[in-house]
Amino acid sequence: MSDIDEVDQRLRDYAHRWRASQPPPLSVDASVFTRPAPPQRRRWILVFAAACTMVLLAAGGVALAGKLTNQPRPPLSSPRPNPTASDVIAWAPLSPTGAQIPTTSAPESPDPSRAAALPQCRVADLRASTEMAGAMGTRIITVTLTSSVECQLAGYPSVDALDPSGRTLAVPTYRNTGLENYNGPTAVSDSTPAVLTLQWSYQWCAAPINVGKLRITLPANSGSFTVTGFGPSACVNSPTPSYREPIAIGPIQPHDYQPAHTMTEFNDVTVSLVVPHVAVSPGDTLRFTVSLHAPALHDVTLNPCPDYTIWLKGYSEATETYALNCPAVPHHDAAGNPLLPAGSVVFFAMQVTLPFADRPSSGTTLFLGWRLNTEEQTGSSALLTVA
Amino acid sequence: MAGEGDVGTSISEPATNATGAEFASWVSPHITAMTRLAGRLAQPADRDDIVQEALVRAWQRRHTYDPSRGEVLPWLLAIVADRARRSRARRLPEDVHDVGAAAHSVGARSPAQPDRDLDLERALHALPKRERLAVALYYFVGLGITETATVMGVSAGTVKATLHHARSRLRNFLGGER
Repeated sequence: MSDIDEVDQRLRDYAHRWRASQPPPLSVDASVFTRPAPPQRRRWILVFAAACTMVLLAAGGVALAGKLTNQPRPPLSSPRPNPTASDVIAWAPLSPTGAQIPTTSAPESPDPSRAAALPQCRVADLRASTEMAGAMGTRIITVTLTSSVECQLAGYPSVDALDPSGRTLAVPTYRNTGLENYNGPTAVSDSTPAVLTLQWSYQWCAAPINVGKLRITLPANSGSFTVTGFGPSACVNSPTPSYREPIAIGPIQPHDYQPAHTMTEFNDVTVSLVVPHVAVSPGDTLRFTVSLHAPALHDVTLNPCPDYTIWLKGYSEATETYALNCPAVPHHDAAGNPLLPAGSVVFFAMQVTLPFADRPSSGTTLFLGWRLNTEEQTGSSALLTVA
Repeated sequence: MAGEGDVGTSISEPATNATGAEFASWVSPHITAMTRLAGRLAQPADRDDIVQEALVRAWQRRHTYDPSRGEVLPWLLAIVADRARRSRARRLPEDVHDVGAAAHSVGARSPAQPDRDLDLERALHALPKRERLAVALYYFVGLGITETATVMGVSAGTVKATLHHARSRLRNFLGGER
């Protein structure tokens, strides 16, 4: 098992324990929905801000997706599936083939070569904001840098610890090169922030100090600025008496850095479920419809034809895998291979028999999931309730 | 693969003229997921306040929900994430997240794990905000890749890359610990 797999498993295990430890959620009090709205002006500010946030999120996402994949962006709005019976490809429990869908590689993003052409950032053009997180072990300061003039920074800054009055403290530092980091210059502007991560553990066992400020000197000695520091030192689990924990300095890198990764043609396919009856009983055969929404600007070939998995979680668990009924898809390319034409929606009838069990109590929740067995494992899910 | 503890998405939609009781009934199946996300993004003491604020916000904005843009759960979770962000912004910079509380609450039920959980919780809070959100949605809320992408407003591929990067960082934050 690789280190990454190990982290994945550790996250799953911890998340499982964390969920089990959480107090129950509040119940929904309908009366809160009938209380008077806040004053009109404030309400409109809130609505406007929320709308802006959503627009920026969507725009940022689309821009990122475009940069990352170099492929046409998926439709922002796709038709809600509402098929007639003749639109739906009939249910066929085809044996899974284990087909491997070809993958392509997406390079790391953003492209470092773009930033390389920009001038070196001047400290006078930069603005820095900080956020500190962590407790009981390590404090982490994330410095976010923006610039009114588009420019570039590369490499590691140097950092000096200062006391609250600005006097330099003898705190060692080191470059944290162990991270999977962006290699190359980072473009900095108001819309493309750069980030720098600084860490300091509570293992300062020499005479106590108060790191009230940090002076950050940019790479290539191109100016310095001061931000809020880690605060008072602490000595916890020190490896040796009088141990002096150094500050770990990360590289300057884009805030939206994405490493290279692989994907398939199904990366931008979206899946919806239509379940006509959400009130179910054990032993029922649940019939539902899956719609595959092809991306707006490119076809998706169904050769090789992917498998899919239906899963149920709730009063009982079940997983079933079949091959998609590609031979019945009515669209074909010039070579006769089935495909999802760009911008189309193709509907597949599905069915699964709900596990039989001692009758669970009425209102018990059951989750129905459906996913394509491709690299992306694109899928959707729906909530069912025992009648 | 979907995260563990998957939470489903409802197929029903809120009517713009729904009553408070109808709306409450509509959002009830999603409260667990909303609460989990709030629990990951905010202080434990703020968790329920954020969910309550998000519900009120969703009620006020129910006419803006567009079912053609996706299922309702991602819409509700995006509102929770927004309210949690505002909650953090209201706090002073020194008012850091109590990482220990989260891990210790887990450790209380799993005495063999508290130190490892504390280390992991600490490392999770060192992640950039975007990666922390992806990890919270995928692992802790239990969404699949596609739903996580919808909440974050990015493509599924971007979510996969973000999770990959987060795991790489965590591996390095956690060092040689096993």
